[in-house]
Amino acid sequence: MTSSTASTFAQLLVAVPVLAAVVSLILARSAPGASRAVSAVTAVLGFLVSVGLLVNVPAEGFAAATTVGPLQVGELKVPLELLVDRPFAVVALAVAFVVACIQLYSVWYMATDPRGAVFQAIVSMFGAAMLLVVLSGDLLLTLIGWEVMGWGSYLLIGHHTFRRSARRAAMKAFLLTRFADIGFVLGIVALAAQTGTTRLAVIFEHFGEGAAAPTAALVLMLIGIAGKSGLIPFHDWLPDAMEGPTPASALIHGATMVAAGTVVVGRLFPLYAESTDARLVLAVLAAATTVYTAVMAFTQNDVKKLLAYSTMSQVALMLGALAAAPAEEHGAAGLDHLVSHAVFKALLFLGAGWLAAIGGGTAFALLRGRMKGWGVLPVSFGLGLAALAGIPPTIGFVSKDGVVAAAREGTTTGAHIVLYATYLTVFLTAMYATRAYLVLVSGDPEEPDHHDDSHTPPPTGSSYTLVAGVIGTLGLLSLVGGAAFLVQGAHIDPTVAAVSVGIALLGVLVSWALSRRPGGDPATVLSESWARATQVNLGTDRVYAGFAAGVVALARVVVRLDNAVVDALPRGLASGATATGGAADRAHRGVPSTGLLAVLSGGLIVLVLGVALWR
Amino acid sequence: MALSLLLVPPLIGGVLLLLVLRGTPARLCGAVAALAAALSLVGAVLVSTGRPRIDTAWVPSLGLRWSFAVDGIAIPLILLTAALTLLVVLHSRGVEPPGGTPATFYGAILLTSFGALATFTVRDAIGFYIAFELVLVPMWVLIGRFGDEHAPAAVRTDAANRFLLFTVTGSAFLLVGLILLVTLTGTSNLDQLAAAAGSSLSHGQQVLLAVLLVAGMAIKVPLWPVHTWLPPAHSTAPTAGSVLLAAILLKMGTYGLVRVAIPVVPDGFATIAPYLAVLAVVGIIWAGLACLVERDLKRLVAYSSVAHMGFVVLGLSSGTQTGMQAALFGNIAHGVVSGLLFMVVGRLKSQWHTADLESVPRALRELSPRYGFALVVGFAAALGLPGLIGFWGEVLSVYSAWTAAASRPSGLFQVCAVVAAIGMALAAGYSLRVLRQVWAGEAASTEGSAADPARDVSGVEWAVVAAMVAAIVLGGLLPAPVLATTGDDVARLLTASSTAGGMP
Repeated sequence: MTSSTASTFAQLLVAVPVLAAVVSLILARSAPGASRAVSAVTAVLGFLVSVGLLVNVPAEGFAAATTVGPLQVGELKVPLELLVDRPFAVVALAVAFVVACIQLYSVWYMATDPRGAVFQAIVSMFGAAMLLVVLSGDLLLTLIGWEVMGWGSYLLIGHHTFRRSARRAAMKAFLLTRFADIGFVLGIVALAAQTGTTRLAVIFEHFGEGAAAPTAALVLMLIGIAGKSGLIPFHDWLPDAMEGPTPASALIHGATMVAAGTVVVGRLFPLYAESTDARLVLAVLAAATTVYTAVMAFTQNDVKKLLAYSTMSQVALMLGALAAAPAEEHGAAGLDHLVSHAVFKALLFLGAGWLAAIGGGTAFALLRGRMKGWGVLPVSFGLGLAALAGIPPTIGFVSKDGVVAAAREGTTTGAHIVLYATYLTVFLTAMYATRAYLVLVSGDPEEPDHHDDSHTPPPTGSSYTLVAGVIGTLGLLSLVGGAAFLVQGAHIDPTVAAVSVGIALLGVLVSWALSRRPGGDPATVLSESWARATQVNLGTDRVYAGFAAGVVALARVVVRLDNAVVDALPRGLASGATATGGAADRAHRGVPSTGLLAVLSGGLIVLVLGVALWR
Repeated sequence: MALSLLLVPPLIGGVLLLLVLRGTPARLCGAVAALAAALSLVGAVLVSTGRPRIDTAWVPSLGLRWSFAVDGIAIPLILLTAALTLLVVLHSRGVEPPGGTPATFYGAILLTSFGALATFTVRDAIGFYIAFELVLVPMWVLIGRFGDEHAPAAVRTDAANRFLLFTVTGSAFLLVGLILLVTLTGTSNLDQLAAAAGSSLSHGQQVLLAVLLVAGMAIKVPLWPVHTWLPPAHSTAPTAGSVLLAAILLKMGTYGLVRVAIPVVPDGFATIAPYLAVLAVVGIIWAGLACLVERDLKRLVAYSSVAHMGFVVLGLSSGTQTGMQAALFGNIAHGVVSGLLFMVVGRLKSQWHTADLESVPRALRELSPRYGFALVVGFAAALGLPGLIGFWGEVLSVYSAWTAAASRPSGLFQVCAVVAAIGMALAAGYSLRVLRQVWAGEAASTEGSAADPARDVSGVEWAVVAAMVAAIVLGGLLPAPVLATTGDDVARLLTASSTAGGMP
């Protein structure tokens, strides 16, 4: 039975990184070397397991597997089961592959970091959480993976706790996504409430049989998805998240956290396909985000920031494809672009880490022309950028073609919005990708004014082999990986391809032409003040800070009320009781009371009377 | 027999320490207390598996019976109480309690534990009241006598008296309610009362009883707006006192709701449940906001308790089995999590001589990595992170409010669910605030200097903290055993109350 084998592989795929995280965390301080070895080896093992899963997963339908459940919580059934089918086994493979690349790369990159072992343990946990989201067949299990991933991002982004900016960025990332998750939690609750179970299979069946589409619940979930995916209005945590060490950025951007929203919408596609309204909301958010962030990316002065904006833009494209695709397409285009993006974005970030080691920072000013002469790096990085721009025959070309095709085939208003946004984004993406490449291979760099010791020296010897191997493999995959989608059943429509490649080439040409101007950086065509504004995402952070300040002001009011009003009654009662007691006390102290006098005089009268009468 | 093993060692141990061993050194007192607590824990394990029942006449003229029993609802609480008592005793090792003799200190811990264990096992309404009250005096001693030595005596006395007077006021309502209940129904046996489910009472009587009983419990829980005794009590109490207060005493209030109010007057409880739910979610938001600006770490953890207990009460108000299950799970979760947090925070306060969030000598992560780790786990659990024990109770409580019983106003309860979910985000806010200030060192006065040489936790103390961390992780990963333990009895309790006349 292949499906039971598949179930075992699915269980292993989650269990291996969980155990790896626990073991390496326990070993992290006493035996950091062993701990890091555990992280790296289990990551490779996890990748092998994911291959086993893909080989054994049934071609049609699902394979289910139990985890630590099932739970019966009163009326609510929580099976906590895994559910895997072929498209999601592919996503799981991509996740496990990227995690393995990052763990191997971290052996070099985090070698001099005293907390490197802890970092790698958290990467394992993070990977486990993402795999849980990918393989989940239960809404609560999805929520578990979803939130644990958020927590992992907090720890990874804030890894360098000695830097104030890292502490702030970590807190901002977690709070913003957690705030958005209010909607995600309520959406899950509302979905489960309709069927009394969190089991996806039952929920699909329930709504497949003609129950009205749960639009409210789906829109609530979209709030959380927008948060994790960096959609407007949650589009300002990701650029700050660059404070994390570069492997963490590669992880968060490559195959995990920001892609998790796509995975969830893809998993719940049968429900979203039923609700035109929910998908229209998603389409509008995704279209606005993909264009906006692509515009922001063009003028960034830091390679990691440019990549961060490009991630948001690309993730919005995936979500746009899911919002636009006709119901019978099953959202394959969005998931394909997820896998493709995982490969080339991991490549670009890991390459950026290498560049940072060479140039002593990630600002373009430090890296100008630095990429030349580093063997596999310029070729691979160039391929990564080509894939980002969607130049054939790269993996990005094939998957982006699928996104365009899905938007063209869609008939809803949302699909039209997504289509035009996608065309615009293809042009803009080609422009900024070209700019990044041209700046990195030409011109002379500034020298770093102080050498930041949080940057690792460039790899040499065996670590060079390791890093070059990882980067080279990812580069090769970026070039030829698209073939895998074609084997899987994706097809390329010549007209669609011609239009989107034409637009992309136009973007490349414009960017190249602009680079002929003095200075060599195409972005200088735009005004200085605009460029400055884009470095801070047009001041979005101030809006968030204002909101937070409002909450804190409310909190101060609450504390004042707690003391002045809520506690006033008990205090009043207490002082009332004390006053009454004091009054009674005074009435009883020192002088004989009137009562006692009365008793005494009464007794005296009785005595006198008695004596008198007896006589 | 097992019941005696559960209850007698802490009682005898406590009395022995208070009366006979007054002058003995701390080590011996600690050993006696540890022995008593360990025996009691063995008893707890035995009663959990054997589920014994004792029922003999006690005061026949009053119809009172010596009635004890153990069921699935009580088992997790019994195990929590017995285990935490042992851990608290072990954690206090090597601490010379200020303000009184070690014998009094350990004796008070044991007697508190005894009172709580008796509360969780007794099945007689009057016996319940006696056990419920029994814990007040030793806890009052712990707060007033052994409280924070840096605080002026007046502050300690005020905190201790506040604690005592608030809870005694609650108890007055409770006593009136219980006496009225026994007079109206003619029995004080809680099992019989639950089986009858208020069928002999009129609606008005049920509502009156529910108000009296719930008012009594609500102060103990504590429910907003009668929570203002908790922060001073916690910030003053010694670590052991804080742990017992948060992990055990507060649970007696919610346990009382489950045992004495909900099944006994289901109709009356259903009538006041919407008000309770609103108070609960107001408390969640109120306390969550207070935590965002509170500077004293111990007060902050105390306020967070108000928020967490709000989720418990919300679950109970929903009238669903899911809600009660969530509440009972949340009870345990809060016990373990706040227990751990008070252990860590209490130690930080005694090392730094301040619990002020804004004046931390150095990032805890560097100063004391083990305590730093425990603090991270504790606050991650406090914000309801999945994979840790705090998650299940809160998310299921929100679910239960969303799907409240048919007798509840569903619109109101759904609003409560939304507000509670917002409260979960607030919890993330204050938890990360503490971690940023203390763990990551935002508030650190010195950057990496050795001003205060690192003294990390080790030995028995670390074992205790590690056990708590392990419980938090295990409870989060494997919630099934606890949920299965409470499941059957929750179902029986709520089914009985809905069939025996709970529905008007």
